[in-house]
Amino acid sequence: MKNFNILTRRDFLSHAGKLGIGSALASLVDIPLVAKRALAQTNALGLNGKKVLFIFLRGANDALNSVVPVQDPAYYTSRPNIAIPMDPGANYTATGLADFPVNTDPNAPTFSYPYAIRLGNGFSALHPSLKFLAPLYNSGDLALVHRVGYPRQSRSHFDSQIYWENGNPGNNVSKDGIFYRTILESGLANTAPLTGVSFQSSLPLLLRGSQAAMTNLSDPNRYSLLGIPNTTPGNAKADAAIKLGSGLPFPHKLSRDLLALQYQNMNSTMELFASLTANNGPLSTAGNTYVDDVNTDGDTSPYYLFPTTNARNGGHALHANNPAKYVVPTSAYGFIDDLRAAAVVLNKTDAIIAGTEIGGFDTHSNQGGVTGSHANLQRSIAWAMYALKKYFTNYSDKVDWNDVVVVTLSEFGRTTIENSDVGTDHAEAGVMFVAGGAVKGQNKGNPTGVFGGSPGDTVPWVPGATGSMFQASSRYLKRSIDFRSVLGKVIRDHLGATQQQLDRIIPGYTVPTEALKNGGLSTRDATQIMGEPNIV
Amino acid sequence: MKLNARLCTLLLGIAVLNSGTTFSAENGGTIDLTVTNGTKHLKLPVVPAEEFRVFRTTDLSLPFTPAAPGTVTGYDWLQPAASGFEFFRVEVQPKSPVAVLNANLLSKIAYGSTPDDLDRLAQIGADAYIQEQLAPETIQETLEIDRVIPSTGDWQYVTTTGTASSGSLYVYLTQPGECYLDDVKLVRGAVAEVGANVISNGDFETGLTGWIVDPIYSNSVVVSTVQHAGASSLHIIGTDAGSSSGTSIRRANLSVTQGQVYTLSYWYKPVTGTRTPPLVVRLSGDGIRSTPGTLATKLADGTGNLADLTAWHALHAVQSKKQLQEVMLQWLENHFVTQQRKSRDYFDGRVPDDTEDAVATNLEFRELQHWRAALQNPNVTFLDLLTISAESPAMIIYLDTVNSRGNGSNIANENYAREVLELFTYGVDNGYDQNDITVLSRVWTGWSVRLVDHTNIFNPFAPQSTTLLPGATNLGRTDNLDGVWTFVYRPENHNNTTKILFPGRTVPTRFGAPYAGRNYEFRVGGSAGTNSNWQQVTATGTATSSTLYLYLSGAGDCFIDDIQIVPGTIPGGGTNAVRNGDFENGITGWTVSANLSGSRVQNQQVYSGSGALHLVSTSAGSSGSTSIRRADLGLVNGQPYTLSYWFKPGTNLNSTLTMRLSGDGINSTPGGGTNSIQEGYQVLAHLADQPFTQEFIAVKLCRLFVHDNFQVGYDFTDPNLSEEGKLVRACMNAWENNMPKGQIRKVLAVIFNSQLFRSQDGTMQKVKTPFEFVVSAVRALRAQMQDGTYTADTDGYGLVSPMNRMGRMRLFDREEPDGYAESGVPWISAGTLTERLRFAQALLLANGASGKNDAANSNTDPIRLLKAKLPTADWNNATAVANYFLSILYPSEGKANLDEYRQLAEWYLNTGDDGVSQNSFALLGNTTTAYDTRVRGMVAMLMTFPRFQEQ
Repeated sequence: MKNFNILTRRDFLSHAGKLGIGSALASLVDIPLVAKRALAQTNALGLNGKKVLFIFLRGANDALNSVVPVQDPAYYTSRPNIAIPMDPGANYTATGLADFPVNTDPNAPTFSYPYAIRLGNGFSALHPSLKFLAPLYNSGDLALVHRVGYPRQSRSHFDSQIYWENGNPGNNVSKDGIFYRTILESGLANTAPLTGVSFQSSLPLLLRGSQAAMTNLSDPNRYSLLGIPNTTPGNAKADAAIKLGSGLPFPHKLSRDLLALQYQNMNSTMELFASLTANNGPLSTAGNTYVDDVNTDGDTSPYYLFPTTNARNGGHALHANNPAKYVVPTSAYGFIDDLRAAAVVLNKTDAIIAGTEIGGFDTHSNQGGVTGSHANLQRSIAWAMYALKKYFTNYSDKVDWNDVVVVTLSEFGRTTIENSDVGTDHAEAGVMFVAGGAVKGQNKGNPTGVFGGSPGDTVPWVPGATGSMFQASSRYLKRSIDFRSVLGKVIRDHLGATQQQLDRIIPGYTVPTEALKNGGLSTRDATQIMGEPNIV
Repeated sequence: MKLNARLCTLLLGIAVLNSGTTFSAENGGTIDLTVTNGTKHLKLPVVPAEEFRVFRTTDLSLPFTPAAPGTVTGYDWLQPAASGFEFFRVEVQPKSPVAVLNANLLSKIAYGSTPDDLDRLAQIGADAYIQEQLAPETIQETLEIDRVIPSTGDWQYVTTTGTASSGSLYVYLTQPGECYLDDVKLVRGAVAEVGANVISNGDFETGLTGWIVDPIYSNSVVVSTVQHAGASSLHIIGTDAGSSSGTSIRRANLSVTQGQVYTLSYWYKPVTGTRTPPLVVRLSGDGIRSTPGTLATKLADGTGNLADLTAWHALHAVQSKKQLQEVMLQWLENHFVTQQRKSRDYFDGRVPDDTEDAVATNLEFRELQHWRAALQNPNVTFLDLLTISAESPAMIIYLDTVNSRGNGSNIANENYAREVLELFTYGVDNGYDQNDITVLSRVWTGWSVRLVDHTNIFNPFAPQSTTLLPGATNLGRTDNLDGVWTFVYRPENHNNTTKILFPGRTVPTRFGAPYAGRNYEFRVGGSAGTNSNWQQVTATGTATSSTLYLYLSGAGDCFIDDIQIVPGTIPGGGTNAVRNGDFENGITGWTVSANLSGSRVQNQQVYSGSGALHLVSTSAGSSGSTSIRRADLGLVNGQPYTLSYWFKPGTNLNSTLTMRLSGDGINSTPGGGTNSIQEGYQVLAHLADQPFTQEFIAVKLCRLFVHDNFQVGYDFTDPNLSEEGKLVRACMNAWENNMPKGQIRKVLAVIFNSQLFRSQDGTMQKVKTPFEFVVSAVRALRAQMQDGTYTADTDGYGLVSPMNRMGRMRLFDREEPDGYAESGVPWISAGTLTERLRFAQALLLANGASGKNDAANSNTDPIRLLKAKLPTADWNNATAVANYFLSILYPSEGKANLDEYRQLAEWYLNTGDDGVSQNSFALLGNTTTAYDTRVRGMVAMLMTFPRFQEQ
């Protein structure tokens, strides 16, 4: 038996060097992050250790029932059946910290508070299902960016999701995604093993593009190969054979360099995933033991951070399997599992951007108010943010909570006025949730964590029957911030893109008529907007 | 490195006794020659080779003679060192060009080789194969998957054999609807109705005993009025689409043995009409799955969904002898890309609930079948194929022409206009600009879709269907109507202005003769017409005044004759109210404004008689003070009248003629009406054969069939034009110089006869798309056995999920209009590679094995294959078995290049499942599971190498 010439690291790098990509590889493969940072000595995009986790709320989240304009009287007149009532005992005009309605009785249902949660900005409030956002808000780790949209808003899910993902409103033929371009600009797209990754049914447009393939895992637990027989030793035999065979020398072919590189990436990534999965590792189902560091929500024990079973869902197991003690609906387990995978991958690998999606927000009928289908959906958003903060704080490895910005996207908001089916229809401006240790929320660089959601804004929220909630037309909330300004701010000031890079990542970013950076008149539809919110 | 010579001297080295010194070669570069520990070590060059031969001499004035054999493993040649000087020469024996060409053909114009194709091609030769593939109409073939069962409305018998995947049986309709079902039987073995039926009361003689009826089927009843046999049958009535447990009529805990072969049979009957019901009877896990009427029947009936179409398409790619036709159909589908999901969205609310998928799929199916029919025509042109796409309702919906309006102040949607230039004909930034897109967008206004009677499927002016669906009542709603969605033209939405495309533009010099300098401006529609002949223009309306205005929208000129306005709706059918409308009396009675003062009545250009108006405008007109007019028509306001006149474009007409009554009761411009549908066809004809299109399409075809490094933008006048550029040019010449222009077969023949395609330059330079990968993986092991069965097969459906996981390749359902990529970069990442490898591994797993779901319902039997192809004596010979699979999986590679793969394959066969222990393949019983596992594992290993990603 001959000893096979496995492509050595040196061979590989010299091979890669011929492709003109050796330098990037040399700084990224198999080098500890600390050393890599030192090596890079840069704040450059992709190399500064900063990361983004995205969550796309598919179907269009009803922003007005997430961050509720309780001081706009038109809100209550427009939504007689689904409005979130104010707590008669709370002063919503007072400023200061947000309320966090923690249960005082451990046996009380998790979501027992039936009112809009006072945010302390004197104007708006949170849906009670979002109560776990309150601690993030109060520590300044949360920005609630309201009235976000883009010029000439499409009310088609189809088109509007394309615009949010390609960052190119009005152009539904643009073929690549905003986060794809971000990674492409980092120069790492075809060199590092894992750069952008999603955990959902298939790769979202956000990460798609023609010059590099990002990774999607429809099931975080299937990132391994099979053997024949499909047993542990059988798989090991197959893996060993593939490693040997994929490194054998071969007459040059045009695609061989690409394949060699990506086989290498695959092998490194798979080893990485195997190490994360093996021995009940952090990515394995059994390794999902992450818990809160305090007794959660006034209960007697800390809760699990990533509930994927009833037993691990909030205080369910602590209280005789009481479903009222759930923190997320049982239908969210798939989403939570994907979210966990995205978090673990950001924490344990050099991936720069990871994310997932959650569907069901197209609430045309019976969406409910304090309780109901929309309330249930929102529980997952809030708990996701809460859990991510705790995870990146308590289980920090390659990054910590200060390095990660979590951002939600949703294609549009919903109609101001409820419809005859006690639901809401497609409309315009919506809300983005942006969280992270680096976020400048309440008392952390900003007097409030609400952006675009009060009459004190540069482009003020105008209450009343002819106010902001009806300005885009009779039933549509008008935008005051472009979603591209939010993402642009995060990509430049957090991820480290230069302005020049950002101009390529978000086409037209500094075109004055778009007013994305500094605000002003967006001329495409003659709308005053505020420019970049100071969120990071 | 070129290796065209059969024998190629590559290098020359000198070894100095025991010193390890190396010397360089005189031609072909250097090689390493080292001497260590008494062994000479020659590093052989990594080039395509069937065999390396080593020669030596001790004195350069003497001839080289074959060196003593030494040991060759991979690219290393070893021999004990001798004393004294030695010079070495290595000769490379390349693989036979015939074998290389055959392999290239099967990897490019087919979806990969099958063992049978390799044998056949070796017999008939490459040229015969090319000729045959270029003329698919000459290939006789009847595929079971194409069989359409003409439904009569009577009882129909269905039987399916498969492997039991569970004891749960589901019966459901994939759409709301009804049908009768009787005599459901499931028996052990491959013969229907032989043996015990494990489904009690499958004949519904005892009501619904044993059957679980989910809520959407709660209206279903056992009836005694209709039955196939016995006294009763089941009348299935579904209010919603079924799919599995919870939405079906079903059985649980049937007494079946999982993994064993069973045969399902049953009878069904439509309740009304003859259309095959969308019935599914299957076991949970899909080990046995039956849909009556065959795939082709469902697709032809319009009840097939996207999964059906994808499976059907994939099955053709796997099975058909017309491989090039299948490759071209996929290329067309992808070049003229559409998105099934967008049509589905469009039909939401326009068709009955839960039929959106089927209706949208039908558009994709018809489009594909139109191309298939066109490809049977020996002279089929690119224009033919482009026109099919333009007329396809799927395209009209996908790129937003469907609702585009250009009449009045409406601004046309630019989407299709942009893509027809950027992606379908000229290529991006190649001969057009934004202004052309804006102008072109107006041409497509009116191209739309409508639900029409089945008899009107090819009538673009057909009215909406008026046939109500059974039980429906509302004629105003298309979801109440029966019919077919097809392309229609809506002249009322059309923009009737003159469209000037590519104004004054000439073909750039880089195209050389005969193209360079050609003016390719094109005028269409409105007052431009498309030829300079006289044309009649008519318009009917209601009189709003007795004043008629004539003017142009800008500077220009045109000719007008025989203006008539008559009562009623028939042109010329009454007394003409326009005196001297035929200009036989000069300009008498007409008032001419200053901007039209150059107008004259003349006798050179007339439609009839001896006078016609030559209208000459210096600036835009709009009404009384800027027109030629008369105010003495004497019309009765509110009454219907019809205007008609003859019109001929002038020599300098860049603007649009308007002829109207004051008050706009009648308003006419030349163009418009049903004739304006021609503008679209005329534009297509103009675009289809421009050099930009020729270049762009030739480049795409070369990328498809040769390699990825072809670009738009060659300087064809460059004397040092690359081989790639020359091939593109040769394609363009074939396009341009054959009549009619643009014949696809002529262009393809140029590519297939080119040296780039036929040599190593065209070998394995490309990465397979996910579709090519899964299809070629099945085909690679697919040989027909004497009993007619195959050693590899798939149901097609099982390929859908893997393709999605390998980078979201959803056939017929691409979001972006640029189609799926041909090049490898967008397909190959760590994640997508993992999916590819898992598919190959799962494909080789035995049916029912753990992990098989990754390649569900796609099975291979490499053991049966090797036993059919190798003599019995070789069945346990690891070298022979390894060599056989190398020869069918990597047919273009030389033996020398495969040496290390062979060693690895032999190692795999001779190693236990633990991957460590020696376990001789020679000693394995060749009917044992261990033998089966070893061979499957080895073949899977070869198919997971980078080599198998290439084509």
